[in-house]
Amino acid sequence: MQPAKSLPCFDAGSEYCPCILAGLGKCISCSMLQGKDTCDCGWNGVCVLAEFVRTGKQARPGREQVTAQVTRLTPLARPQADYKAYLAEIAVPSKLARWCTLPGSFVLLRPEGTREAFNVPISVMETSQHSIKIAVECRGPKTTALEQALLKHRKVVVTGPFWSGLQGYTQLASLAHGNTLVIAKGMAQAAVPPIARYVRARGGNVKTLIGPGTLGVVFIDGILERLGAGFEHMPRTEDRNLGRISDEITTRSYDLLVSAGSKLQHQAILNLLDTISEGDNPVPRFVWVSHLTMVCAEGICGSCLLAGFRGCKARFDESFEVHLLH
Amino acid sequence: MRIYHEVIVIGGGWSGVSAAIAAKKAGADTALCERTDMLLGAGLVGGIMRNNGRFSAAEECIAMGCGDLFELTDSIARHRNLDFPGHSHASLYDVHLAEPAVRALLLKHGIALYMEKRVTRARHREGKLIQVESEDGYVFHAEAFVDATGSSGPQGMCQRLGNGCAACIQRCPSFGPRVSIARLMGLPEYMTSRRQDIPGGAMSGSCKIYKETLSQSLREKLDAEGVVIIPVPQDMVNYSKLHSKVCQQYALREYAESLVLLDTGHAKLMTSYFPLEHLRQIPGLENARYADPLAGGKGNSMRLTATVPRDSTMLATGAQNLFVAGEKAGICVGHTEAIVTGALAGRNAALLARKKPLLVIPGTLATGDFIRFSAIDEAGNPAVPDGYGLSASHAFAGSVYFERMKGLGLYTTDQGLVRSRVREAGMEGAFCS
Ligand SMILES: Cc1cc2nc3c(=O)[nH]c(=O)nc-3n(C[C@H](O)[C@H](O)[C@H](O)COP(=O)(O)OP(=O)(O)OC[C@H]3O[C@@H](n4cnc5c(N)ncnc54)[C@H](O)[C@@H]3O)c2cc1C
Ligand SMILES: Cc1cc2nc3c(=O)[nH]c(=O)nc-3n(C[C@H](O)[C@H](O)[C@H](O)COP(=O)(O)OP(=O)(O)OC[C@H]3O[C@@H](n4cnc5c(N)ncnc54)[C@H](O)[C@@H]3O)c2cc1C
Ligand code: FES
Repeated sequence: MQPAKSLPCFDAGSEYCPCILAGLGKCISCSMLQGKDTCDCGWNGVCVLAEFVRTGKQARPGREQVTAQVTRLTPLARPQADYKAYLAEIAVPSKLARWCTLPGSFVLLRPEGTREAFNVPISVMETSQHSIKIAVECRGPKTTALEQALLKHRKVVVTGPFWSGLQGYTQLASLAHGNTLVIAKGMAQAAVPPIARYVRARGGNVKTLIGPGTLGVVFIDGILERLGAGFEHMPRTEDRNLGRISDEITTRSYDLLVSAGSKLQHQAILNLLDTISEGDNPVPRFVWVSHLTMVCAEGICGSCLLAGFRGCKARFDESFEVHLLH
Repeated sequence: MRIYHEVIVIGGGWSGVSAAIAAKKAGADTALCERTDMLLGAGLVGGIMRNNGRFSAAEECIAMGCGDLFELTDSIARHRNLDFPGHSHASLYDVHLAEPAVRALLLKHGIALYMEKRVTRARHREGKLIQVESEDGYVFHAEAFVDATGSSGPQGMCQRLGNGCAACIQRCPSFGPRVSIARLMGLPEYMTSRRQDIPGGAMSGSCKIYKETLSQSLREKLDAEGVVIIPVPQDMVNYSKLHSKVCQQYALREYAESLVLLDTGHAKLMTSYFPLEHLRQIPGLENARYADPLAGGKGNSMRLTATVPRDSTMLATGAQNLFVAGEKAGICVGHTEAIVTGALAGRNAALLARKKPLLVIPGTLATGDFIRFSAIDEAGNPAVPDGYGLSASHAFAGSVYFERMKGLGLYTTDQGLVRSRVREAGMEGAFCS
């Protein structure tokens, strides 16, 4: 499927829009700002062009970076793993904390005193008025540097908020009052609590099937219990739990299915939904946690390019196939 | 163009209008800047006055000498002494008559009005606001300023927290979104935190239908009685909308199970939004059409996104000469609440400009207690130990604050009793000169 030329943007309507891309004629939403004379835009509910004209054709400043204190650090116990993983609580300004409430919210973290190349995108699991909670697995150079910072100075540079950690937002917003099934594996569990909270607050039901994945540990069960969200552990199986997932979808009626896992998991679940729909069974709408490699998260560096779109900004609401072209 | 007045009020909603009148009455040369081409802000579509504890608050204001706007809304009331679910002795002003009447009143007081002046810049030093500038290049200097810019929108908030711009009376696409002056000064600003699933904000709780699109019999009933209650068919009842409302005093089951229509000149429908296709299935509403928001079938404006910490004189915390009023000044909703907080902010701006001691309304009066109780501190916590702060909407008309008012014995409809309380508090005519 050919994607549209313009897509809705996660940042449109926020205080970060119009961003630097608008000034460069590269806004991902607005066809006018791209140099056309028609409005075949990825409508955001707000007009980016109007805002751009109003700001005197100046881009708004990007996200603030704050140096923040890590107020709590707990290692995740994982008997067979080579790497360490941690749960951490970070004190941040209340504005940043509140804007990290929405499902799909993430921040960039890096050790104090390092360059922006060390930024690591990390999902926000929970927020309170003045703090955020995160989970991080430390494997490669960036996350190892982060681990050292967490352990030694307990100081990190936080940049945010960003919201593109979840795709299929429109489906989530319109069906959250119904029944939602979440398939969560490994580190992607971190993206689940805000989704569960969002669904519960809208009177919906949510059940999460959680597998430890390569991470080897389940760490969100306590939070889900507090939220009154059902969950079930999935042991590792040969068929990557597809039989179990298929049973769950066909025996109960779900409005939404959220895949929080690897791209392979997204693909496997989509194939499964295809098979189910062939039998004329109703299938839930698909929402997925984004696994793009993001670096700047502001549309500039190009690390996240996907079918010609900046995956760190664009909302692929209905066209999840696009997401899988890579 | 450079302009100087002793007091400059930014924002011409009920709170700004009230602040301007109070500042002028206190003797200061006063001006008001408004972003759009009409005064009254959210008050252009409201109408409900004097319901529940708002009656006592309005009477206190009249006795203290800041009751001009209550006398004005009384004079254009379409209905008085009306009861509807959870509310007693309400009066409904005619939303079509209010704005020109208020404008005439301000001009009569000699207040300078600057319309279509959207303030987008501020120059300040160490908490002292030196000047503000409008988008079109006017520069306003003053000794003291009042931020009465409300908390609706901007448009992006409606997009991110609600169902998108529904073309409401704030008319952001035409005049540019609201801009907070406190924010321009770098002062802290908070959103309501009533809901834990979104960053903040709450959706306006009513939409308005053109009365001429109702059936003749429904229209006649509404004109005669002021309120009409129609049961909603069971399959259209949506309780989940209740929890997103700004106005907790209308977040009662009755408002999901029935259509409550009030006659404010429009037929005011007491729900945030209602899909047009569904609305038109209800007898009498077959041809209904929304007047505000124009897309009332889809959504409504998001509010309570810009609350500023302040003290009981309405001085913004961290500022030397910026007072706040209305929805800016707490999680405060309502015309009455805007008028009360506006009057104190305006008077104190004038007193500060003239280097006189500031006024605090004693807590023995509902208005004084409300101002103290609804404030938040610099960290966004309730300013008083037993307060609700960001976690609840405060209004004299219902929910947590009306309960408190009743508990403290501050709610009464006895006008004589209010007058004697105001006298005992030493506040009789306190706003008059
Ligand atoms: C929106 C989003 C939310 C995330 N949330 C979390 C989280 O809550 N906890 C957590 O532990 N991890 C999370 N990640 C993944 C995390 O950012 C990467 O694992 C980390 O950046 C890898 O850096 P490294 O130097 O340690 O590893 P590397 O040696 O660079 O790579 C290890 C693996 O991570 C992938 N990777 C590398 N850089 C990135 C990057 N910038 N973005 C995405 N993947 C990358 C590589 O493809 C590789 O598979 C998230 C990623 C995204 C995009
Ligand atoms: C649909 C609806 C129905 C309501 N019904 C009722 C009701 O029946 N009874 C009741 O008591 N309450 C009602 N309310 C609530 C009540 O209207 C508000 O709480 C109150 O009027 C808020 O007044 P305000 O002055 O604080 O803000 P607003 O009315 O929002 O006024 C702010 C003003 O500031 C202007 N402004 C903003 N930024 C700038 C800037 N940078 N420069 C210049 N000007 C600026 C805006 O244009 C606006 O005119 C209703 C609200 C809504 C939205
Ligand atoms: S992450 Fe840099 S462009 Fe998307």
